[in-house]
Amino acid sequence: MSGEIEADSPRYLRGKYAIVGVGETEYTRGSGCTTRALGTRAVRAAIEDAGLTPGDVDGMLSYSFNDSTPSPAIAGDLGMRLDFHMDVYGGGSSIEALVGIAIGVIEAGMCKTVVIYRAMNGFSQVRIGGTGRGRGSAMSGNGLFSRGIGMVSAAQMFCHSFMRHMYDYGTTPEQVAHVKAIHSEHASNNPKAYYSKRTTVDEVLASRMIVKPLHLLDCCVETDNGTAIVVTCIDRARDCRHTPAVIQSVVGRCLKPRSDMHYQSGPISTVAGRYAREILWPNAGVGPEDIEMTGSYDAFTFTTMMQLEDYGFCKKGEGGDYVSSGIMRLGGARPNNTSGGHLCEGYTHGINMVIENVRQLRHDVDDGCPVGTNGKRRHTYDYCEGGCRQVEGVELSANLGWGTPGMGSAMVMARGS
Amino acid sequence: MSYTLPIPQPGTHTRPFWEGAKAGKLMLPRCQDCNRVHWYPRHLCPKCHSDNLEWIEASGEGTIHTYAVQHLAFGPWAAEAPYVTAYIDLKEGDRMLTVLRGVDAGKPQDIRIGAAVKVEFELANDDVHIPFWRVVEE
Repeated sequence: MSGEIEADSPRYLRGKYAIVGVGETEYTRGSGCTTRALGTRAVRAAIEDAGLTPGDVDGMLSYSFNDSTPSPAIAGDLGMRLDFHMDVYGGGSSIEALVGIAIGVIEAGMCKTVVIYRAMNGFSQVRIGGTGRGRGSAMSGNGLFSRGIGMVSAAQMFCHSFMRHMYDYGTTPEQVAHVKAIHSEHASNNPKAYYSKRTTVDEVLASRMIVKPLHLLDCCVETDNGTAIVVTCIDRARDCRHTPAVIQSVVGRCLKPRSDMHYQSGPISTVAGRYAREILWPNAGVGPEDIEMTGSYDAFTFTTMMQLEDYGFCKKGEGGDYVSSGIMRLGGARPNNTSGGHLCEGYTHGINMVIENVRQLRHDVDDGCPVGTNGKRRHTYDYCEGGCRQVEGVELSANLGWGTPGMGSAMVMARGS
Repeated sequence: MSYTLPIPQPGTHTRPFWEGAKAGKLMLPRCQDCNRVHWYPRHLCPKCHSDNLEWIEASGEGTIHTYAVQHLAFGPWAAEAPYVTAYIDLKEGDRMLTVLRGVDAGKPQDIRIGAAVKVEFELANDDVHIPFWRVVEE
């Protein structure tokens, strides 16, 4: 790996913090309730999952596109008095960054345990596909020259990167269609998934064009949901209910050069992961070859592909081969988005992919396998439709969060003891 | 025929661009310290951070860097779909986003990355002429 940027940040927090609780509401289209209700229920579920009570949690973080309910309201509903809270602006690539912030504020002595949530009516209120955000804003800066020609949705803007990737490396729509097909296989083994039906590569390619080269089924689902995780230090984590998912390394909202409009210069078939990896792997003390499962953000099929490539899971330009090789399937060498991800499970701006990896590292993912007398599932590792989705013996996972082609976040987690 | 699509409102530091557009000229910001052109217009040079910017009349020539065919569009642009968007490698440096003309959105296989394009301007109102790029015969 080339080293254009400094990656000498302190690594002494490696293994010192963990995700101890995860929770979510049902993934729906039409929650019938407010983001306040979704957030409160998700936070309660994550704290309960950790084996804690709301009174044990003194920090709160959230992220949104001004389409959510802020922390003081959620905390109030749960009777919590917080020593720290912050609600940040942003969507994809926020969650890994916020885990890093949570570690920082605990390390600074500002609080002891932080719950992070994302609550959104992403279908029934503020839709992410371009019919909501952005339409009312002034045409200035970047927007002066993009909004004027109708550029509103993420698909409209991002797809130019994929087109250039196809030109530079010969990547094909058929190759990235495998991402949807594979994630749909995983979703068929996830009782929570909004789309649980298996989809074929041919069905993706036959679906209507949204922005060439993207078909409808190359695009993620829009859903209503609340989702949350609980972060604390490793000593407290050992007292919690489940095996902790121990944080080895985080990178937050790492940018490409001139990221306000990265298309202006340099190679656009490269994404921010090319820079984020220079922090992620040295700080984790492992490389992509050591990772046993990934959660590569699938706002679109090609975002999964471009990130896996730029984080070094394959050689530059070979992302199309990687995602269509079968390596990402359950039973493959390195499964990706075993919940079905944004393409199938539900859209959360990244946090559900972290929740999934935490459950996988506990070896207790919520599939259809029978629950034993000890309360744990007895996984069959038979990945047939409706079957198991636990990755056998997984010890090390990576999440690769996507904000734009020019902005990414990432996190490595290990199974704790 | 009146222009029915969204019209940008020229701001303070982009005035020379829009004045040039009215005269059919593509004006680009160039740094007088490092001599490099940047797009879109900024308050200082994003390459060497100098305040010492000037506006130059550009050739209006470029090539297609990448493109996409917009089938699902929003607002007034919805009626235009499908249409082709592209990033243009400007002859003077940097890239500009545009709606590409001289191509058939129904035949994307005929659009070639690297193809030569030239700028043209369409009158939107008395103050704003909007740049579009058109594929030229080679």
